[in-house]
This record gives sequence, structure tokens and C-alpha cells, in this order.
Amino acid sequence: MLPVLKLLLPALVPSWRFFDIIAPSPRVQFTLLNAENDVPQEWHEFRPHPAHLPLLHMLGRMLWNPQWNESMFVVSCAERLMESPTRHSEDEIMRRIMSDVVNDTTQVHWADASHLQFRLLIIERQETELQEEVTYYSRIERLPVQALV
Amino acid sequence: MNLEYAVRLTEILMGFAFAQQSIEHLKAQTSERFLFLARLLLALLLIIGVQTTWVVALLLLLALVLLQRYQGPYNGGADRMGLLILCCLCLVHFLPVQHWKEIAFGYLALQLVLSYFISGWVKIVNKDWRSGRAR
Repeated sequence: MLPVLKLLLPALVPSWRFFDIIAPSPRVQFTLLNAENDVPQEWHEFRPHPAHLPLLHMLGRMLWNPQWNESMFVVSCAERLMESPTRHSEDEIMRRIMSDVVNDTTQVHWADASHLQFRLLIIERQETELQEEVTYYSRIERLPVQALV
Repeated sequence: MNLEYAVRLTEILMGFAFAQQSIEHLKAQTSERFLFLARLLLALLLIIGVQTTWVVALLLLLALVLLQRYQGPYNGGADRMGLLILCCLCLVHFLPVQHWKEIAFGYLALQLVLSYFISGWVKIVNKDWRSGRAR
């Protein structure tokens, strides 16, 4: 019960100071591997933002956008992983990437792949340049058997 | 507007918010779908106004289960505000003295105003929030 109360306390006594700090939002990237000890060749952004969104879609998303809400939860898990890694946060991200890959919503060809890994990336603006820093690598997870078919 | 009317309006608006959020989760692949189905039913009962005292208490219990399930709020600030509203509504329903009920509901009103005022103020004074560099 105590751990739940610890999670509840920030809601009961909110601190609105977090708006003062503009911390970079972590990006989640994943790679598909042909074997557990394979070297990653290409990293793909998980659920990249659309380059353009028609006005009607934008209005519709104000009422119905489960995938965006889920992506926000993924970012929360990514932030938790960077602060203090837990199996729970890694599992939550891994499960969602796995689901997108297997359901072909990532547009990434996965038929030959057997394993999956993700990493967290921080992109910071240094004056006019963007600097990337990898802050976390997940475990390597086997894709479902169907993926090998 | 008296306290009872303000509480009832809060319950209805929160019910709509919870119902909309719960419907989004019904497409989830895992067992969390059942938790949100229960939340949807309770939210509908709250909107209609059936046994609101116990519905609010059950919604709080369910919110604690979800807090444990996700190891924190699912959607950050919005979920935290939902939890705060639920806790304050529970206090309003279960506290025995009218004055205490008013204090609990007043605390909710204060936090609601602060949430908009402080976040708005920070965005006015910090140009990175306005230029789109902050995300």
C-alpha cells in the first residue's frame, strides 16, 4: 500500500515548479537484429511526429488520439528509465515497440529479423546546432516466432 | 452557486473526461482493457448521478490500481489532476462536517487555479516556451 501512496502524494500536493525547467524530451529509437549478438545497423524513430497534419485531423485528434496518449506514456517511461531504470519502464516501452513492429505500423521491414533493441536519445540545442546523446540501451529481446516466418 | 451544485457539476465533467479516456483504452491489447471498461461504466454512472458517493469511492480505488499498474500517472499532469479531483470529491462525500467539505473542495479549486496560473505565467516569461523550442 505504501508504494501506491508514494505515487499518489505528488497528485495530492502538486508541485507546479516543473514548468520552470525545459528539459529535452527523450526520443525512443529501435533497431531490428538478425541475431542476439548482431551489431545494430540502423536505428528507427519510434512513432515519429507527422511532418504535416491537416486541420481536420488536428481537430479530430483533440477528441480522439489514443496513440498519442500512449506515446506520451512511452516518453514518461523513457524519462523514468533515464532517472532510475526499472524493468517495468523498459517492459512497457519494449511491449509497445514490439506490437507496432509485428503489426507493421512502423513501416520497417522485419520479416528477416529475430531480435529487437531500443535506445533513448536526447537531442539538445547548443545555440544553432542540435546535439544528440544516447542515454540508454535496452536489453535485446527476441521477436515473436511469427516474425521469423 | 452552492457547494452541492458545484460538486455535482465537477462530477459530471470529470465523468465525461474519464469516459473519453477510458474509451481510448478499450482498444488496448492487454488486461488493462477490463480496468478501463470498469472505469467507463463507473464514469457513466457518475454522469447519470447514480449512487455518486460510492461511485466516486470506487473510481478512486480503481485509480489507485491504475497508478500501481503504470507505476505512476499514465498521462502525467492530466491524470494527476484527475486523482486530485477524485480525492477531494471523496472527502466532500465522506467528511461529516460541512465546513470540512468546503475546505476540501476549496483546496481543489486553489490547486486548479494554481495549475493554470503558474504554467501560464512560466510560458509568458520564458520565450523558449513560446518559440516552440520547449517540448
